[in-house]
Amino acid sequence: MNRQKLKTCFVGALGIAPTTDLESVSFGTTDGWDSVGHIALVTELELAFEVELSPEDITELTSVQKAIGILGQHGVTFDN
Amino acid sequence: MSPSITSIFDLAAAHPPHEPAIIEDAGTVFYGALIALSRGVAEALNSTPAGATRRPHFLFCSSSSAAIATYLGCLAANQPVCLLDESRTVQSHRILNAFAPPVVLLREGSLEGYRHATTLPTGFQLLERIDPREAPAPHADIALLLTTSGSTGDPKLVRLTHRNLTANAQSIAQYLGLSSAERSTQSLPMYYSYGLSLINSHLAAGAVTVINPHSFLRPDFWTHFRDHRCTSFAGVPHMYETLKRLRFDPATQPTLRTLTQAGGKLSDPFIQHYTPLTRAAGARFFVMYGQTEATARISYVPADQLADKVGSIGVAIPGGELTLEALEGTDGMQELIYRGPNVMLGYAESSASLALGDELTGKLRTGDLGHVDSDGFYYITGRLKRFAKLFGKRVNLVDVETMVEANYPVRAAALDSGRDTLMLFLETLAEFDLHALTQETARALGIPPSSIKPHPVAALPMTGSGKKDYAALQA
Repeated sequence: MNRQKLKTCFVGALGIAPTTDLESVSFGTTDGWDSVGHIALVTELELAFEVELSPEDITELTSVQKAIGILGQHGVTFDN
Repeated sequence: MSPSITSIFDLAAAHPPHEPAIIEDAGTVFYGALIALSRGVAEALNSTPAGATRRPHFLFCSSSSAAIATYLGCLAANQPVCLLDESRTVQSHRILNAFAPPVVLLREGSLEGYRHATTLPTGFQLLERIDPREAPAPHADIALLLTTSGSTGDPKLVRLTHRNLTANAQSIAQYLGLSSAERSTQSLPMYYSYGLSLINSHLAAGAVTVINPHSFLRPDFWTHFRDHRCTSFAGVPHMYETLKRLRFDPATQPTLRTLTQAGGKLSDPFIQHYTPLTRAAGARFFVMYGQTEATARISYVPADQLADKVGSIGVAIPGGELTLEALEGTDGMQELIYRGPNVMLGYAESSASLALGDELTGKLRTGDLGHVDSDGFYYITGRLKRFAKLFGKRVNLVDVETMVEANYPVRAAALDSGRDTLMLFLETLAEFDLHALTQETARALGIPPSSIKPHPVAALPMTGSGKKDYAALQA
């Protein structure tokens, strides 16, 4: 459930194909994940998971694994 | 180029050769070396078999000393140069298809339909079109071609002269008070008029451009900024909005003296946020306004008056003039008019139109509606044509509608809802994939899909004269 939500955020913010392997996506290397895409992603995550990310969260958010870790600190759980 | 015309290359060549011009991680390029390298590029361009003739050179670039020297080499050789994003394939391909340029300059790789002719001293590859299209010679005054950042509709270039470039660079250097002690971090791409104006104005002033390899929202960017003792930062509205979220404080950068903002309207609360912060840090904050059609800069708010003039685009830059012209048939609406030596010759929409001369004669209708206060400060109240400014890019809303309607069975009405968001009202004529529409439109515009808000409606409201009723949609 939360994984799907996470994917929707990434697809919506970065414009990547829904079939993209999320593990391969990272800030600065994935087309669409530039500074504009980054803030769109932050906004999407905040709305979807009802959290407020700190400046540190925002700068650390550079991959899906990091996103899962950051959201985890805000009490969002991801079970496979 | 007749000897009397000065170019940005000439301005750069006038500075002491041992002073630094560009600092990048690979090392420092001094003015002497930069000029020698640019001259080498110019010689290489003009010594190709076809080099004696003037022909447009389309340069795919990202900010680097090699790209800057290649650009300067084109200026020195008086070969028209068009700057394009190295990575933006959608727009680049549209431009390539429309203009079929005889020469393309690439950092690496190849391009279909082109063959390698020579390698420039900067390492850039000069590719020539295998099957060149018949086209008249570009007009003698054209030095530079820039995209208008619209990626929908017909690809369009702005035709600029050496005089446009030098006048704007010197004017910017004057009102910002740039000296050779300035170090600007290159936070914006060089194919973008604002980003190029940073480079040009610092070359004109004998100052330093620092190539920062990091994104401005990474801590590495600001470490790099501090380590290279940079003095100024330039950003478009979304960058300042993002930096506020990151709780950026200019006081944490001891060498920072100047912040500049352009590329769209930064909303008042952000200006009010940064005004006291920059003052407390002993720095200056310049809110500015411009258009690629005016090379880059048109007006600015003097930093010491910003607190009293929040929301204003300020006064005309040195050498320019702003006026208002009443629009016929409107209830007192006035269009902002700019006159100055930096106003483009005109647009080019095909290689044939590159032969055109000066169509504007120094007068630019900005398409912005405005008014002026008793102190002579100008304010923008709306757009004459329907444009949105999204993440510093100007998007023609009519083009967005045309594109969407061409690809999907819908009637579309696009509205700028502010804060980098595009509202897209869609009247469905047959079944279609809304997700794909959003993703594709965003890709074409180069913006995040989530910044497009689609709103399916049963029917678009129409005015009495049968036009889409945007006022009703806005309500």
